[in-house]
Amino acid sequence: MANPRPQLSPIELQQLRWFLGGLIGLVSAWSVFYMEVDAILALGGITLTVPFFTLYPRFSLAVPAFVHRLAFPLIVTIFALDLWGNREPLPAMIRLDLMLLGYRCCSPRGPREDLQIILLALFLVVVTGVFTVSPAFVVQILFFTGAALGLLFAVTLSTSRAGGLAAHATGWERVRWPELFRRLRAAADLRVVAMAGGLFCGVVLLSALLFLALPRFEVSNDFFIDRQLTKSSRTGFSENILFGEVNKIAQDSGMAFAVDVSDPTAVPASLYWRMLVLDEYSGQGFRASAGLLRSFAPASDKAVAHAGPGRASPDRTIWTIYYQPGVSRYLPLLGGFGRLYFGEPQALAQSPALRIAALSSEPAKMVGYRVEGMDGNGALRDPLFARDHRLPAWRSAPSRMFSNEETGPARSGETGEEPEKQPSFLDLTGVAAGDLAKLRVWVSEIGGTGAGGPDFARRAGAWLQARHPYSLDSTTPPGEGDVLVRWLGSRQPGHCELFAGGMVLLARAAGHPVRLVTGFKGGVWNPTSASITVRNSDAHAWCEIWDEEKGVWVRVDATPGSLLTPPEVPEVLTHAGSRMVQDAGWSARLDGLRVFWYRRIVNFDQTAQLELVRGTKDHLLALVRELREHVETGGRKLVAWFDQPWDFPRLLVAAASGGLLVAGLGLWHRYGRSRWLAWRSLRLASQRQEPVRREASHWLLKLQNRSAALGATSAPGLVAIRERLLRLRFGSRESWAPPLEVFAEARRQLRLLRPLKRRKANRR
Amino acid sequence: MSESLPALPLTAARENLHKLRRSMRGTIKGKDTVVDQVLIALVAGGHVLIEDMPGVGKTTLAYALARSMDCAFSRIQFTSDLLPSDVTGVAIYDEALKEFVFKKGPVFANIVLADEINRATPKTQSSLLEVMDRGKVTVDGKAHAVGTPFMVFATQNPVDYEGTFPLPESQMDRFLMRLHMGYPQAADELEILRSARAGYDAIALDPVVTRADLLQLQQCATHVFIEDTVLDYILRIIGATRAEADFRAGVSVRGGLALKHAAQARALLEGRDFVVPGDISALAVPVLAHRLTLVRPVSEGMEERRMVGATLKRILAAVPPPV
Repeated sequence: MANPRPQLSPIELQQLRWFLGGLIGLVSAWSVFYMEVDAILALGGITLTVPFFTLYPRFSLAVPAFVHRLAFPLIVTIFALDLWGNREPLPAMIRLDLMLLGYRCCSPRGPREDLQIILLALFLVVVTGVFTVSPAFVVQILFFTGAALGLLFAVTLSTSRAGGLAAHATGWERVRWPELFRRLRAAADLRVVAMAGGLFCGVVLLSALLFLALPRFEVSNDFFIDRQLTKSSRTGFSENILFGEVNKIAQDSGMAFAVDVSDPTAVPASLYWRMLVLDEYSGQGFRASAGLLRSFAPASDKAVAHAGPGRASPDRTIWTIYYQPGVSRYLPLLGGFGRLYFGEPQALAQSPALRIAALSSEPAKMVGYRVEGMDGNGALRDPLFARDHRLPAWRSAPSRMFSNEETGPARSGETGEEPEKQPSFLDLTGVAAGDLAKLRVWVSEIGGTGAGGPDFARRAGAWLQARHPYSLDSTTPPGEGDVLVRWLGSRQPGHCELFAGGMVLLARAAGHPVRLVTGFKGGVWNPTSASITVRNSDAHAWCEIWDEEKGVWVRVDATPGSLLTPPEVPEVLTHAGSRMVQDAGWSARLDGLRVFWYRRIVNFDQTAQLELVRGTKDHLLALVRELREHVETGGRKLVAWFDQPWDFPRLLVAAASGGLLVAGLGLWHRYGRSRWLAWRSLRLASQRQEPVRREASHWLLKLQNRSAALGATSAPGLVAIRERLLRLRFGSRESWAPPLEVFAEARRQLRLLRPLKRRKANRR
Repeated sequence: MSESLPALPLTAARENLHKLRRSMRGTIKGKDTVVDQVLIALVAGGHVLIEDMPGVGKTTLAYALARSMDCAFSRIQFTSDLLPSDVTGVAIYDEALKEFVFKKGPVFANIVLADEINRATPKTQSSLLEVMDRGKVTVDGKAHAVGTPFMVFATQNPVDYEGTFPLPESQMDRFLMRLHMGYPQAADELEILRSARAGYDAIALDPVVTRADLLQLQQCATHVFIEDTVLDYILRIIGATRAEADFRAGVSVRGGLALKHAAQARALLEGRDFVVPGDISALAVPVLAHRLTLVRPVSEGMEERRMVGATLKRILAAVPPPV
């Protein structure tokens, strides 16, 4: 009590409020970075001005009064113009919030304005959290809650001290931050801070447990805000891809999606995540023809479960994919699937022939979906295409080649209407006659035109790889004519799109049906989350060529370093984590946290809840089993050791072990325990929990009760030990006799009372 | 307070206290508890108010105490016409010196017997307030220190109220303890009857401790250690008196301090350099009872004292001591 804890003055509290308000405003404004809201001007302004004014508050007082008078009308006018011009209320409101927040953070504030900052910041943080469902939301909301509580505490203290400072009072702006934080440290009771932090963590933990334990029920995401903010595709996987676009995607190392596999041994050796199939060559790239797009069945009604085109598979592997926003509306899949489940009801358009599925629009937030019966084999059966491909008219009318049942060639012919444009996997109409001649020359160079598609693809792949090295940083040679033909004729390096596109042109020129597929290839194993992480840098393009003999589309990857053709049977499966490239870096750990967030928070439905319960139970059972095995093994080893014949070395070991044990116990009793007691006594003296006093109290009570019961209170030994115990209990520490000796004497005196006790019992 | 007493002073203090105790017990027969309580008040530097019937040995006790020590003793017989200056002293004009000279009153002694204190007027009673509190007397704006040690030994008759003025609470609060003598046991009384002594002048006791010894005893008492839980026990007792519905007001802060000092002195008397909870419970009634008044006043003084004592004992039973 000699040095009472200092208290912060009203001016210091005002400075603290100023700092906390600026910090809250800045961090909450930055949350808008996660959203596709065009607010770069407001964000830039806040990022520059708020730290400046926060650190140098005196400049906020130098702002002329007319600026404050004009600020609010000006902000409202900008908001009205924004709303009128863009017709999007929510982005306009976010921009309005940013402007108000920026203004509040840079102008002198009273308690009321501090509360406004908290409300404005809360709006931004919550809106960001709702729309992005990002793990960053957790960090932001936790930070915001802590900082807001601190600010409210400072406001309360400030107003309770002589009414606090007025909003435009002066004197507080001359702030010396190191001095303020030093004073804050001196004024803060660390125990109270730790207790508050502990309570806060406890509440968060309790909330998390409640979240995990509450029964799940489905809530549709048809709220009006769902589509208020649309996020444009960042990666560019669309129906029309120009050369270089996939390559551009591959420059981004951000996570595209993460995959949880129920059985990691079922992961194929090569993962090709198909998203889009493109058939029409435009000269500048590939696109999905109108006929190909018509192969998509109309989007279903919103539902959680969707049946897929995959064949019934005995494989019970469940793939859960956490698909990041901004990639594409086409879902990455390995092939056909049996059933597909979403966390929230979704409308799904499917092309059973292409094994492609797409959402109705690009998701603005993470979409989690579970796939059952997914076919990871690189060969896709297509009986309808096989049937149509054998028609005599096929080669002369390649546009009639379409496997969709509903729009099949027979129906259009029967009706006599103009035949609908069908997808063509032999279409070379985009190639000029001169370029076509070049292609034919190269095809003859490659040879094997009479062979099946896969054989030709193997030859063509070797031919391509012999002429072109791989490079992400590749350009097409200048000149006139078809860009892809120019590249084929050169020896310049190329990227996956050029190799895949070149393969398509060569195969079509050789008369093999072939199509371009875009998506992702591979992924890395993330040991933190025990899941597969696929990044945008894994974006890839490859082909699928028709194998007439087997009636399947066979995957062909002509890019150097890739498999040319897939194996015909599923590859030998091993645990994904033991075979795939592992990524255990910091970014992978962060990705792991993100997957945890998706797995246990965002996508935490009834199934996940059951999985968690089962997983916890299995884990506990495994732990108990392991522990029991350890104990049993140890016991067996010990018994076996004792069972062995006792020779001298073993006797020595046993004697040494026993001796060490006894010595350890003796040392502890002789030195350790007293030192421990003394140390604990000193440490806990201020808390009135000194162990010596506590133990003395225990012995005093024991002696008192026992001697009173036996009527031996005045025995000389008892009186003496009672006085010594009283000194330990109530005397000054400096006057203590060695406590352990006193306790030992007390124990001895109690033992001396035993015969008396026995005699009394016998008399009774 | 956290310092423990050096061995020699503690031993010496114990010896001196035993000598005093022996000396007083030789004169005051069968009143060992009261003798001990008086000694406790002396060592704690407090004042004592003894209430009891006339002729039970109150004044004898004061004489015995005074004559056991090598200290100045004076007796003031309080009457209704006694003036404050008769107690404290008065400034008179000295013709020779041509100035006012302060003539000390009987209060300037180490042990002052204020006999039948309630017979004096409140004005005269109040003249003792300053000297009991600060050990000083202020006359004509000049403070005069009385001797150290200083102890007021007041007596009053709780039964005979005719022509008396009850002591105000502020005055009562200045007393460390209020004691009762009570009648002696038959055997003790027989011994008193057998003794040939007559009158106070016949109390012939040799001083067994000097004034310096007494000051050292008082100094020692302040160093007696009190553990935090024992202090907490005092606080809990005081708090309980403040929360008790039967009392008009609880024990004052001065009352708490008095209990602590008295407990330290008792520990010293018992030969300990630390206080145990028993010291507190043993002294709670004599130290605290006279500081408490009932919400519903009782006309009979003895009855009120009995009720206050009973309530205080009930509180003591309800407040568990530290173990």
